[in-house]
Amino acid sequence: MSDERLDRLIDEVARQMTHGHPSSDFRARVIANLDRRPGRVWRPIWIVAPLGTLAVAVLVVLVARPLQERDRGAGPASQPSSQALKRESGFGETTKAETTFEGLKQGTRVAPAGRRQHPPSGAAAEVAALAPPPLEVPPLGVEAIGVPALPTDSIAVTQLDAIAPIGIAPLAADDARPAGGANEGTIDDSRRPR
Amino acid sequence: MSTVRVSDVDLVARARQGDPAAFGELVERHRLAVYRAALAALGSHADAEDAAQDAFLVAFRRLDTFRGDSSFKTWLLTIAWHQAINHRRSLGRVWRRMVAPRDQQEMESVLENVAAAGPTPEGATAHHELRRELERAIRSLSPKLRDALLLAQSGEYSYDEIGTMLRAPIGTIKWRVSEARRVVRATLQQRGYVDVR
Repeated sequence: MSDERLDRLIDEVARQMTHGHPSSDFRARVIANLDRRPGRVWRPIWIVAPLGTLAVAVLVVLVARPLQERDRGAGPASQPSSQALKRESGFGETTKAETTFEGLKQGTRVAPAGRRQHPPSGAAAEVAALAPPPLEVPPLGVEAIGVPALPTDSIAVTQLDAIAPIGIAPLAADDARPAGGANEGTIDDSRRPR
Repeated sequence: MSTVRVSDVDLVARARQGDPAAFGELVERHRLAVYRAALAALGSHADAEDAAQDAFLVAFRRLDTFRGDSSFKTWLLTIAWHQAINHRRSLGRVWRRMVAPRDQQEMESVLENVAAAGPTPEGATAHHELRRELERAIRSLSPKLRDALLLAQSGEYSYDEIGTMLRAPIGTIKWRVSEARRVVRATLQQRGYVDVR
């Protein structure tokens, strides 16, 4: 079979693949839907995405609720120290660190501030509940440092000698300029260098 | 109302003023071109009908944006092709393809009906088998080559209209059609139809 003949056959098959007619009521269906609100093409993602978000939210609530109850159960033993910690730190966002502060006393490690801190496990909470009350250390008595009063007298400054005015005699009009130099004036001989 | 001699532009103007009959006439005039463009993109009669209907609804809502730079048919075909490509990409259609490959059977039955009879029963069978292989080879083409070939051979569109639909120059469309034929020929040779040359 030649290429030309095969190409004709290809074209014929291609034409057959696009051969067809819409249904007889096509026009009527289009006209009937003209007044319909612009219908969006249904996409599964529009259903799946909200459902997925809802499922995640429910999961978060289910997971967070037991943790909160567990934290509340371990609360009384650690509450005084946690409040003290909050006062000293000056930050108000130490909820998880507060619950694990007792664990710090028990030798467990506490994540530094700013990092994600894991909630205490069940065993840690029980240990924290059994911990003794925090030590109450009386405040250290610190007395004021005795400093002698500094002298407030004014400083006596001796008066400087007044500068005596220098007397300069006017030059005579016919006075010959000395040969020593062009700028040499009538300086008192007593001040001339020797 | 007689609309035999009314131009598309006049019908568009009437449809813009809220005349559904005018738009109905536009649907009647171009439904085949829109439907076959969708069929070329989708390969399924049911999907093509849905896409064609959506294309007309979208066109009706966007009538105000038709400025007359091109013909109404070209403008409409651009919308129809866009709608058909959206259908082709949709996940739902892929799922239906996996569940019910009914359209493949439809197409094969059509090809059976139109298969040219050879001089002998053996010849007719061989010819029919060749057509089926050709159809498979066309379906396995890349979308760019397949779209160009099917649109060009549908007989409904000029190369200019195809270029507008596919957003490619006419020369590129012609090259794609020629390349599609070459690839189909090569595919048939690879499948053992060595006597096709």
